[in-house]
Amino acid sequence: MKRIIYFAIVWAVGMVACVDSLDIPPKSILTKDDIYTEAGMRAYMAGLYNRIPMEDFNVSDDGQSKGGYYYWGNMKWPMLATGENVHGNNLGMYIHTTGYWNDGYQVIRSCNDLLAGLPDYIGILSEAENWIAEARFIRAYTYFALVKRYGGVPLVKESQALVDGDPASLHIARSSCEDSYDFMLEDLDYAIAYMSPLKVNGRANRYVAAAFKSRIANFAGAIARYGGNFSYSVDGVMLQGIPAERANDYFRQAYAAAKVVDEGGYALYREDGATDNGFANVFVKAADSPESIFIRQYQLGSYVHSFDHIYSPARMSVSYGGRYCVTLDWVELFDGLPLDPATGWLKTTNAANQYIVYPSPYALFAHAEPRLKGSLILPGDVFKGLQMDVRRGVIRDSLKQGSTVVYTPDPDNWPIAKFIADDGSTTSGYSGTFKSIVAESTDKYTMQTPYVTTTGVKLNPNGLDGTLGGRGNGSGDNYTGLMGRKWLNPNLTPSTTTIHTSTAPWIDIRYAEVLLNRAEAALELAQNGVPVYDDADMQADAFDCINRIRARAGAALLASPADLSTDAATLRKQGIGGFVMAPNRGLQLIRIERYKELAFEHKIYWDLRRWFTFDTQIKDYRRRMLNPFLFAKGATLNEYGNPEGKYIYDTRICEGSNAALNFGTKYYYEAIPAGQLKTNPLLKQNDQY
Amino acid sequence: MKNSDMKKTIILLLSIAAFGFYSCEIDNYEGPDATISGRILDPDGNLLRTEPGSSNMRIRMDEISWANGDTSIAVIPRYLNVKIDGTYVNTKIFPATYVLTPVEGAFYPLEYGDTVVVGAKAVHDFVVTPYLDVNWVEEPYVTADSCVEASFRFVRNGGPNGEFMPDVQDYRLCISSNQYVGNNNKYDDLVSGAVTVTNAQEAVTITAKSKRLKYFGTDVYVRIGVCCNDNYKKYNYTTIVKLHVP
Repeated sequence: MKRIIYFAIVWAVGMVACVDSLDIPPKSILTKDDIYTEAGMRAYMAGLYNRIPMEDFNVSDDGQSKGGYYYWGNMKWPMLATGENVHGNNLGMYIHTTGYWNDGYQVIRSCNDLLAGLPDYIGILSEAENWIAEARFIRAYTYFALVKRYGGVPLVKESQALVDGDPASLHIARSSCEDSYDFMLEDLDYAIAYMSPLKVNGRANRYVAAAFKSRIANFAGAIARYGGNFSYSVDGVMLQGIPAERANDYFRQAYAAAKVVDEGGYALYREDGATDNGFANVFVKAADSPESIFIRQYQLGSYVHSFDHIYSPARMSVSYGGRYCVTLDWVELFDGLPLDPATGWLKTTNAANQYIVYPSPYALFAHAEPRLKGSLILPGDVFKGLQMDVRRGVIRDSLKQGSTVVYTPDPDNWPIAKFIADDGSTTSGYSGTFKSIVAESTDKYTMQTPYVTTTGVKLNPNGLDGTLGGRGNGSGDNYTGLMGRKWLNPNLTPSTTTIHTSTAPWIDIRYAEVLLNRAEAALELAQNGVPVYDDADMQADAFDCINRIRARAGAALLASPADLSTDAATLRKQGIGGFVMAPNRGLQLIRIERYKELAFEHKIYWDLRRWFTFDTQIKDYRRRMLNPFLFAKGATLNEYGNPEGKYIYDTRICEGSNAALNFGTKYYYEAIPAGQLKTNPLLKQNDQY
Repeated sequence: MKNSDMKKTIILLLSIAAFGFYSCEIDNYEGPDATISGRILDPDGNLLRTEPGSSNMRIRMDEISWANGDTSIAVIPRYLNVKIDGTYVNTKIFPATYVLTPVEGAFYPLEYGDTVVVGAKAVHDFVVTPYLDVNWVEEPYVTADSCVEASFRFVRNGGPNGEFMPDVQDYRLCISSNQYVGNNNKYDDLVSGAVTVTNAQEAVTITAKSKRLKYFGTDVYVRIGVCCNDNYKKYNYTTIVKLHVP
């Protein structure tokens, strides 16, 4: 009954609106007079920046509402596909196809409106010419989000109007992939020429446009050079792929654009030296760092994220947490680890296939590259006031048969044979000897029953942040034994790491990426008939850029430009860095550097797509993990209540997520959303759909 | 409120509601009740050996009759799954005219599909040219050390229209506890992944051996698939052999 009355009231109110005296322009629609003022433009542009498709913290698989952007629940996102990350919400492959389309064209329309309106205000509005250049930057930025997904797209270059109520007047066919890139590059060239050099956080300037140009010109160059197998034309229009002869042209543009960025005074953040904190602070201090080129800031009450809440180790977050599990395959790309040169894999056993005993929880990573330490919270690291305590189990200090003690495992003279082969294909769980000598738990840190040593020391079998054997005690479990640190805010406490409250900035473009773009473009040129460009030796320039990155990272430097050779690339499991595929060793070194430097920044997924190595690199790939085991004998507790003692480490396929991952070649170009095909009959679908 | 007023109000509101719901006609369109079935054959008339579902191939179905040639109406393709023996059937299809194309399989892609009028019951067979014929040389058997061993040969087929022949990439020995054995259903622990093969090994006898079996006194199903490096990297298979593990 109540519902019926409400219905009647709503209906009645609806009738009342039909009165002539209320027929006034609606307040909710902005007119030219509102926008084309000094304050109006600033407000309008702030709104546009808020809507650009930046892959920030709030990227997710949510394709229903915002095409994969602007959703707090960032559990499923591209870095699950590349060997960077895995967690309990997504144990298999994840392909980031979220159907981004409508929102992009809305932003593009807003830009086109400005480009039509602003020229009348040159000389009236103080910044009119700068706003025009900025609108073209935003237009190119938004088109790129579409073009990198679909290849060629309809290029709406001017604000459209409906003619005679006929929707056909709005229909535009897809341009070629090549024309789409050229159109964006033209917009960016205009932006570089006419935008202000002033650096303002969150806002673009001419150097942001140049840095962005170096990114997308490298995309176009790589597609032209490596995407030939996936080119696809309909009615003579090359919707997928770019003619190979354009490759060098794009790489030249990328190189030149990267050099422009240098004029803006940007630099690598080096205030804390080549240390782990130095690298972590690139992100923690993003708002004030000379390395940040284009960032997005957050504010409580308007736009926030939940990265800390979801990605901190579970113990360091109020709920959720634990999603930042990093694969061992990624860690093995770094210097300073006991890698087997024959395979490139971490080797924690001796020639007799018995575990090497490490004297402390910290010893294995003691000499690791500072950039790796800055990217991970390693066992023993103190973060948010808590010390990381990672284990898969405790090696018992007395093995009994009935009440008779038969063995007393002693780290100094009790060698243990490797439990499970680490060959990239053995997925079995631990069994046999393991079960009798290891005390383990599948319970969370809050409820583990301690293992009590013969001397009375109580040890949490799996540590407070350890792996649980992947037996599903919740999505926040540690799946790889390695937890990430990049982006996490160290100034939060566990109890303030709550949902919807993180405001640390996201860096969309930083100077390190520009250097890597430049190195890649330079080496692509050097290896393809352009040894000298812009009076610079391309191979030497690439070498110099890589070494600048490595010097800041604390990594081993390349010895000479000749290291960036055209020798055969190292293959998977045949040497260090073999995880990252490339056409030759020189490009492999550059791609590995990108993997190390730019992981967890939404860059690698798109790199693998533009290099067209995704289907060969992520082919029957099973993520690997690192399981530490503590010897109960000799273990003591430190001031954090965590054990100090001798450790062995087992490398193996992730216990909790052992599926073979594959990338289907159809995903090099995503399907045009079905709804759009129905709306615009001129749209042609991509290949393989 | 008096009872009679209440009645009046209800009647009034109901009539308003009736107006509101006027457009909500009952959907009286017939449900999808047509059936399509058939076989996927190689040029010699043998059924294609594949996997159940859509993992090794599927059939793309483009409906063409309802738009009446109006190209402004976009038709979104739908897909049919296939059975492991190379047959397919679907009993919930709207009667219409379709272009049916076997896609995403280990065979040379077809340039055009077949136009099929699906009435109450349609039967349609397809002919595809598999990249490879894979056959046993010595059928699988359980070795003395309780492993599965077998040998096989593959032969590369030329494309029906002189297409570029994709390179052979790897083979897999697949062992399962049930008859739906294949790359999508196998014991991963018994075999260490795919084994690389090259074109030069064509027609050469290759022997494959598993690790030690884990369960005894039971049956296992075995077959070998070989894949080519094309867009899809799907497998051409041998027949399935049932083995008793003593």
